[in-house]
Amino acid sequence: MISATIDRLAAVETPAAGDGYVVVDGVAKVFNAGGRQQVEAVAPTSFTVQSGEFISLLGPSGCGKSTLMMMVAGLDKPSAGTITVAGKATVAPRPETGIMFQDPTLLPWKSALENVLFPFRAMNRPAEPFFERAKMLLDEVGLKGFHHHKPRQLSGGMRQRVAICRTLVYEPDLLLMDEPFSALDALTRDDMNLVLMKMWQEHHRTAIFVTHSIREAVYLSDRVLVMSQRPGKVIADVRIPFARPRPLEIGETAEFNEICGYLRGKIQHRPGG
Amino acid sequence: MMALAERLRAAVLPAAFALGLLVLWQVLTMAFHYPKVVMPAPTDILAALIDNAGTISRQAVPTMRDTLAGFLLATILGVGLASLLSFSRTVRDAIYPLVILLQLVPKIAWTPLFIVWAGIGWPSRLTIATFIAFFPIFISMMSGLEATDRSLVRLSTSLTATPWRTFWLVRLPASMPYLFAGLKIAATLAVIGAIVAEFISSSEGLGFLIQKSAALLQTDLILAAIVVLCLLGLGFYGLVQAGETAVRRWQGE
Repeated sequence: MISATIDRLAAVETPAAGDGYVVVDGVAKVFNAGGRQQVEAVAPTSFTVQSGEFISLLGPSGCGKSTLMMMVAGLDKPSAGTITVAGKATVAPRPETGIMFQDPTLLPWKSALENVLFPFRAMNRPAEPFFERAKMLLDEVGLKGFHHHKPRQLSGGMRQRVAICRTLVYEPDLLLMDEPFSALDALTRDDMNLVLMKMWQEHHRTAIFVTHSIREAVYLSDRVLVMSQRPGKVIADVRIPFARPRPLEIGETAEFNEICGYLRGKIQHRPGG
Repeated sequence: MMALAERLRAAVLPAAFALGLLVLWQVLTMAFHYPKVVMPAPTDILAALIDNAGTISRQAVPTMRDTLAGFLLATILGVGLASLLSFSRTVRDAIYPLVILLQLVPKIAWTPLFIVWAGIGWPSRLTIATFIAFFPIFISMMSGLEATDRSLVRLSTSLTATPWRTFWLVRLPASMPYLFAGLKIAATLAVIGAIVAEFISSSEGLGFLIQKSAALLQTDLILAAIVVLCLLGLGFYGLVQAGETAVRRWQGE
């Protein structure tokens, strides 16, 4: 039984590049670390994300997964290779991509509602038509009655909920999330995963989620891409078979833990070391 | 109730201490019969203040005008230059070290040169007040712009905001606390600039009055002018403080 699952997991093949919504093709990143010293953050790596798919980039700290994400976002340029989103090469941030960072990144001097509407201000588009939508989103994530609170009046979890609303309010077709819940305590984190799942199912989007939490990756994703130690590259591509909606309790099933164990083995593997 | 008592204490305690000093000053000058020309008693200063109220208030006008104008000009230049430098790394790296170097020189040392360039009169006084007040404003604005949370800037960039919009929506409001710290220093420096300029090249202003009184050994009048300067400085500082409170309230703190 157990070995059958593992065989099934290992048998997943990476779809051929070129037919996905996000296509990362041979992307590498080398940083200048001052002087002649160069640090290879991302080794040439390729993967594809289908439209509407939720994938996680899972890897140890400092493996270059955030760097990879920033390149998909168009905030950083690859040293080699190409990234295509919705059929177009990524050279700069695109307005249809929504990003969540490790911290909520809220404007401290603006209310929750104004923060949710910040994307329109940044894009220099009228925000008024989206007032109702912003309020609805805030209510949906359980922030009814907190619309006019300032970030410092909100808890860490509440701030990250505001950030989720801010990312969804302008209906991006691609969500990029860079360890958005890593600064939260375990209980709040479970809570946030539920909120994220609910929101993702309602506002179905292609999503890439960067995390170093194996359980989080398995719980949230359709596919988990495991990255190696630095220089990071995708070393495993595992399909997560659970049906949605997923209750938090699936985390206690044997199959869930078996997948986690399999992924842990992959992460700890050091090629040549 | 407790807060009110605490606030009263904060006001009463220093006031009582200052009053105590004044009384001590009065008693000592009276007991030891100091000549008025060396050390006038507080009552002598008050008398000089009342006797010369017209002269002092007349002379306070140009001082106030030069201080305020210098401060405003320094604010425009300081905030403007710092904002400009925040847009280009190359320009910033080229200009910023030079400004820092310039500010290491004692600013007062430039005064005679400004008088040579701008002549005797209000243009040179304005230049000096502006020059002295400029540096703290520029440097604090610069630190504010550079200390802006980088992830906020990155968020704004990821939302395809132009550099100008990122500046307007994120960097500028984020640098306000820094700017006001600089403005408070600049408010006192602008007064110093105006007075020093009046010492050197003026036939009007409180600085001129102080120097003239010194030549005539009117020590009580010097101190009366200083009292007025002190009040002016206090009012000016209060104005900046009120501006900061207004901006903070607007930013919702």
